[in-house]
Amino acid sequence: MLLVDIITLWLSFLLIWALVNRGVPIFQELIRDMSDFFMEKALGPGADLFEGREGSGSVSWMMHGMLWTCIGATFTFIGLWMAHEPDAIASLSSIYYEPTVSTVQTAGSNAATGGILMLLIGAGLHINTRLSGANLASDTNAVLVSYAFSMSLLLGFLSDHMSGTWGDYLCTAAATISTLVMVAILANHLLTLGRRTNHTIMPSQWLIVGGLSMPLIMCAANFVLGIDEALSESLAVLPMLASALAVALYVVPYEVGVPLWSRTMAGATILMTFMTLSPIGVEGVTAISIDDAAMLTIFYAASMIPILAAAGNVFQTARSNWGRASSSAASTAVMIGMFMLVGSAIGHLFVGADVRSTGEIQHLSSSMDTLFLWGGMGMIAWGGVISCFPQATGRALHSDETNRMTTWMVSGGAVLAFLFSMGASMVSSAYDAAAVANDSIDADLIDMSAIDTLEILASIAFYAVVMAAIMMMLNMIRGSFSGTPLGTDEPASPSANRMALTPGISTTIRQLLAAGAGPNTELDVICDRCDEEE
Amino acid sequence: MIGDSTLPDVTLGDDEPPMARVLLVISIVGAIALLILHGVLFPGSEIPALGDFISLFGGLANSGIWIFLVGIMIGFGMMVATVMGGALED
Repeated sequence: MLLVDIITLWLSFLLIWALVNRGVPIFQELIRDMSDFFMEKALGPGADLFEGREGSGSVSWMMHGMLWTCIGATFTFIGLWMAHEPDAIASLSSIYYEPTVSTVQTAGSNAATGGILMLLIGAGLHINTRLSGANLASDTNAVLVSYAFSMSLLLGFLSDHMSGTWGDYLCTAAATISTLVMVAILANHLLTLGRRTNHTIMPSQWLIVGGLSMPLIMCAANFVLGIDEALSESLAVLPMLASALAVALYVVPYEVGVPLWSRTMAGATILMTFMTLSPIGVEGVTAISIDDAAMLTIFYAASMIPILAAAGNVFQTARSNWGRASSSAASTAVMIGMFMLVGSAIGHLFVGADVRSTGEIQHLSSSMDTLFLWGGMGMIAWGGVISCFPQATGRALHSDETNRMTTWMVSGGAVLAFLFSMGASMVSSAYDAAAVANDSIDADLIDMSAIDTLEILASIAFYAVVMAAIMMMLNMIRGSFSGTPLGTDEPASPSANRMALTPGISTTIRQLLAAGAGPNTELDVICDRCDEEE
Repeated sequence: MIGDSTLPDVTLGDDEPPMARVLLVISIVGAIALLILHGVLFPGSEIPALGDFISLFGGLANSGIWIFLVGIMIGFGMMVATVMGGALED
């Protein structure tokens, strides 16, 4: 019964709240020591592969995440293109790669979802350590499981391309690995929280821990009690949504230098995120009664509250110091992401409510998914990377200009792709409805070129997102290798120790800087003929 | 108010836009100009794919998507090159 399942969900949140606040009576030390042991020592040689420097866990998650975001964006672009030209990559059949349109779209969507989730988890690891005032419990474990999660994404990517038994095997392996990784990351977060020096647990920390633990607890409850599929569907998006809200509630106050505007709204965000059901990504795979559908609709509507509360809080916080908020690429990205998240959540509310009733607007579902994934989650993850990656590596990103440019490329590309693909699906739906309503219309004779044009425009617009992801990945790699160390005014590249100047030839400071001079460069004026003249 | 102007006597500055941005703008303008030119010279015909003007790719790349995919491949190549360059430099 759906109501009992929802009460189970609430109880699981209360359980998490009690355990995080009070710990586990009697067994506290035992559990902590055992978790520590399992996270490093029990892994044996696996743990010795990685150095476990401070911040390396967060960096590894973000690096892997951006790589998968690039791969996901590429396949999403190909999927959008193949929507109007199914034979676009038919020439690859010569190397035995002949995917269908839906295969490419599914693989792209899953890779992108995994990549963006990795970016958010990476930022979350940094945020928790920062707000706890303590180092991450095990950076070694975080690095190790980032590779494991990447492997699970690879297996999932392969399984999307395979049918039959082997596809199922790979899918099961990917799901098992990713679940174990989530358990490890959750343990890491909880141990870090246990070592916190700051007394208060901040909203972002609650959202991070709740977002990772609630689906795991409900998964266990599903094995024991059997949870309604309608509720499980809504929980699938929870880790990503809660992590994104956590990143948003941290990045903007951090970049702006002002605390969150409202405690009440932050509290409402936490409570309602875990006590309501999100309509995002719901496909209505199982039939339910009309009473349950009505109750679900109320919970779907209530799920707007945390998103609106978080958006209001973030924008009011940014308004407190608008100059810094608008000049920071990270907070700009998060604010755009929150704006698009509100839009996509409202769209998903209608689509999610419709799936249980008439199903008249289901053609908008994929466009809404694009807006949510790339416009909402993608942009917030972008802000998280721009803000947290330099802090985690200890080096600034290579180019601030790239941060800002990619922010606008992703937001513009995602919005235009959403608008064009939504337009194409609406026109297509209108043609279908007209053909059904009027038997005299031959569907094959209708001019569908407008749909093709809109789909072409959608795919070309989305190409900006692909390019932005690749540019951001390059920015991160260059930043981690040769970015300016934070807290110093050192130039990114080593400056020349000594430079020679010739008298009689005018030289500007700009020319010296271009030649590699820094603040500590010594200038020698060398004059060959001076002695002769004297 | 003429007397309140804070402009110096010479209203030319020394700053220049970065060369990368100049090239980006020129590339975009050039691409749009070529698209318009193609529309004027060959009205109604599709934009040529990579395989139409590079005979090496004649049998392989006969769709417009390959123009975009080449850009993505170059991007991934740059990623590998940057990682290798950074690792070897260190």
